[in-house]
Amino acid sequence: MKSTDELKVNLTWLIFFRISIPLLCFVELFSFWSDFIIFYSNNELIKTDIVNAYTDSNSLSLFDLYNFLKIKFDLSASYLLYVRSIIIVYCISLLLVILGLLTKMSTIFCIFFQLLITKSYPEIQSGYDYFTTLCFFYIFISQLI
Amino acid sequence: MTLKSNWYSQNKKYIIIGVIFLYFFYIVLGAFDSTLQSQAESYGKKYVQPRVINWLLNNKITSRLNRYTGLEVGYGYFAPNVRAKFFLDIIVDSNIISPRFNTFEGKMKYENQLGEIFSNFYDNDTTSEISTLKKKVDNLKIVNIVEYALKTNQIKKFYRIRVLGYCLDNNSLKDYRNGLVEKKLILKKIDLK
Repeated sequence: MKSTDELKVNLTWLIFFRISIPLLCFVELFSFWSDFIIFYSNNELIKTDIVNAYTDSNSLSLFDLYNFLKIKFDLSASYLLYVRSIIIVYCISLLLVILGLLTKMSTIFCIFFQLLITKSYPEIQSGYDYFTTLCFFYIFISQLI
Repeated sequence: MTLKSNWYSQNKKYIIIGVIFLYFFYIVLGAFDSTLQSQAESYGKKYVQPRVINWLLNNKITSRLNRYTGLEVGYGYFAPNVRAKFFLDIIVDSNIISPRFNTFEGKMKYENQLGEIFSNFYDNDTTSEISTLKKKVDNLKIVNIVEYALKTNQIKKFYRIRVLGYCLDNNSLKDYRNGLVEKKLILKKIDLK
């Protein structure tokens, strides 16, 4: 049996882990905030349909989801507005994980939106993105215990 | 609801152990597979993935599971990996321009993207349909980048545009001491009129 002090240390580590990973995501997001739209909008650097020309069928991209919403729910918002809304929802779920509110649900949202954003532009994906997905999964597992 | 939560609280321990066991099983399996692959490649042989491993790793459910748990690339990213730096010179008449970004991170991501685009040009397979299609798409991407560079540099009139994609062929330490300058390894030349 572990002593209560040992359990306390582990709990502090889990809280630190739960807060630091979303904070890292915020740092990454805001480090290229003013360039974000250049990469993800439809008429700036590279057109979205060209970027998504040979993406993996296992992953859902922003463009796929936009087309799905447009066909199924007759979405009238522009692509740019839709991308901005996704970013806002992602930021809210990161904030919820930091605050520890609805952590299980918001961690799942974080994984979903993080993958949705990174897999939409696989060419600018780095090892860091895999690391954050992995960490979010660990945060989710730690919430089950 | 109570029945459900009771069942979960009673079996919570086993569920978590099961999930963690499955997770580590896939880590070990992925590591085993990539070791076999690199071993075969180092001897110049083609690696044929055993049918069981192929089914376990590449079926639809597990590949999605690997993606959403971050296991997709295993733990390979912890290894030091310094990739070559790629450049794209857009020569408008006689001036060299490049796309403008507001942040350093944006510029880094653009260079990363160039690396990904140019890596397809190393592929000398001209018979494969996918390879040819990828090259066509990559050409379109370069044209898009040129358009963006012209837009950000506010160039509206020009006579001729040449695009030169290259990476630096690094010298050995001996060459470096003898004062040899890094050579440009040309990967792509496009002439747009």
